[in-house]
Amino acid sequence: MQIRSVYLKGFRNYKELSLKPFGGANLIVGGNADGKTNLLEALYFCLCGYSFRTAREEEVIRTGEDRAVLRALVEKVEFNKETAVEISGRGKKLTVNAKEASRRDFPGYLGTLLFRPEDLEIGVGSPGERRRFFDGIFAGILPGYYSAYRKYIRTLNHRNALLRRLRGCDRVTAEVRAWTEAVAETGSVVNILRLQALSLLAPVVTSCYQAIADAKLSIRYVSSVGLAESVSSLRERFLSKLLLIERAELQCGQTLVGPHRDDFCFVVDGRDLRRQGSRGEQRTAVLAAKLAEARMLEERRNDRIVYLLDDVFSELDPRRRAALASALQGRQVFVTATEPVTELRGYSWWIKSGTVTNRG
Amino acid sequence: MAYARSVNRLIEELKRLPGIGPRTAQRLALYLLSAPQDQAERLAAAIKEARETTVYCSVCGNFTDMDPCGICSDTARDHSVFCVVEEPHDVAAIERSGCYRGVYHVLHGALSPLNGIGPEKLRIKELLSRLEKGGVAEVILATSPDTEGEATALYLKRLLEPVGVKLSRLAYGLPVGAEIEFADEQTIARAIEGRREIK
Ligand SMILES: [Zn+2]
Repeated sequence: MQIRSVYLKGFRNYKELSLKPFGGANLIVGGNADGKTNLLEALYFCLCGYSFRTAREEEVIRTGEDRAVLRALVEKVEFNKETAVEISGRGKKLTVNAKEASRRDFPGYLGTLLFRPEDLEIGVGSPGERRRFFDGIFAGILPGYYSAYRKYIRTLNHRNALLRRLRGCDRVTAEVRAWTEAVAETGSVVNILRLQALSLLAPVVTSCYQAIADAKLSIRYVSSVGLAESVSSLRERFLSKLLLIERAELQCGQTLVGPHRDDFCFVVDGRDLRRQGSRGEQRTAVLAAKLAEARMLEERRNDRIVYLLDDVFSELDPRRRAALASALQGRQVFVTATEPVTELRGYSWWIKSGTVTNRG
Repeated sequence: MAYARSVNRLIEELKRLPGIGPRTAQRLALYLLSAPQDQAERLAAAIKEARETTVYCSVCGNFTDMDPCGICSDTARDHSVFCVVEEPHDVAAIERSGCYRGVYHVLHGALSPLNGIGPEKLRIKELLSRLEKGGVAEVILATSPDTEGEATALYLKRLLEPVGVKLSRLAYGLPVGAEIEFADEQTIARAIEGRREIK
């Protein structure tokens, strides 16, 4: 898959812009407020149909304009897709080949790798950030994961709403019990699927890590419920755990154990990188996980995916820069940076205040 | 949009219907105004008649124009098997499949704490008092296979276990999150025939 052309009008700081990207590496160079990330956001919009930066998408409309319009021609193995996004005060309109479409019809669905500087920090971040990171990867590589996860979160939200309403009550009602069972049921499925997804992902991450750092990395799933072979035995375990703390949960009005409280950790030579890892090791682990995700997405689609990298190179040391650059070879890549990236051979676009001032 | 006041009112009313957005409401209103007079009047009369003659069956809770409804008063049906569903349209869907000969109980919803719906808002007391009268051998829990429907089934299972009837759950060959309402007849027939006893 490749973006052949892209057009922006009234988007963030861009008045109007047409680009015909290069099939390989595209380096987007500019200062801090010149609109590099805005351009990356526009490309992601054209591929996936939504913003990776904001849930309030009206904010992408350029000041003084009534709408933002994005169009792109995306070349795929089977057929080309012309995508268009229009955001106005009345909402968002997505089309693919001039027909109304949803995100799932967009060519970048499970076919775009977005890598941002904050991703590199998840090794030392909160468990929630690591869960988001891994859940995002699992959704792309394991069919059925996303819907199981969504079902669990919805069940959990129902139960928490009920616990909040009954907060301080001493008696566990039959209604609470029903939602407790439902949380155990749907949560066990998520737990087991996470293990399955991890067993697919981990070997690929290990080999990507080895290529950069020459050490053995593994990923451990730290489950608040515990681990079990089957959904039914896990459900029993989850349920008995919830029943033990039901009263405490009624006191504080929320569900205290489950996949929404779990964590993942990178382990190198028996060391848990969350606590005993250098910054470099943590970043390499995240980088390896992202590259593994990309490789698995490409395998699943049987096509090259498009890579969008926001100012990541400057965060890496020369060895990791070289490893990343070699993994990107032969792919269409968009990389933002404040200065040229010598490891990447390709095309450069210099951006200043929303216009392209130079190319080559 | 500058329409006459009465036209705007029609558009506003149509917009309240489920699944109808502003554009569709406008299209429907303009269609009704340009259609032959008697077509529009037939629609108005049909809505009025349906509203005036349709009530909830005092036994099962289904929509009916006589009380008890045709199913509840049909002596040829098996009154020892109850099928518990969320909405009247679920009854219609299962009836279309033609493979079920028992009777129904319509809950008029499913548990949904996020929307403030607890057991007291569903027709659960009515279900219990029907069961207390005796003569019921099996209750099929046919709530949807979505989050709310599953939790409702778990709740009913716990509640009905002491009653001592056989409890079963539909064998959903339906995709996760699918509604009975939209399933085809064969899928529903398979789900009923393949129902599993739950313990
Ligand atoms: Zn009836």
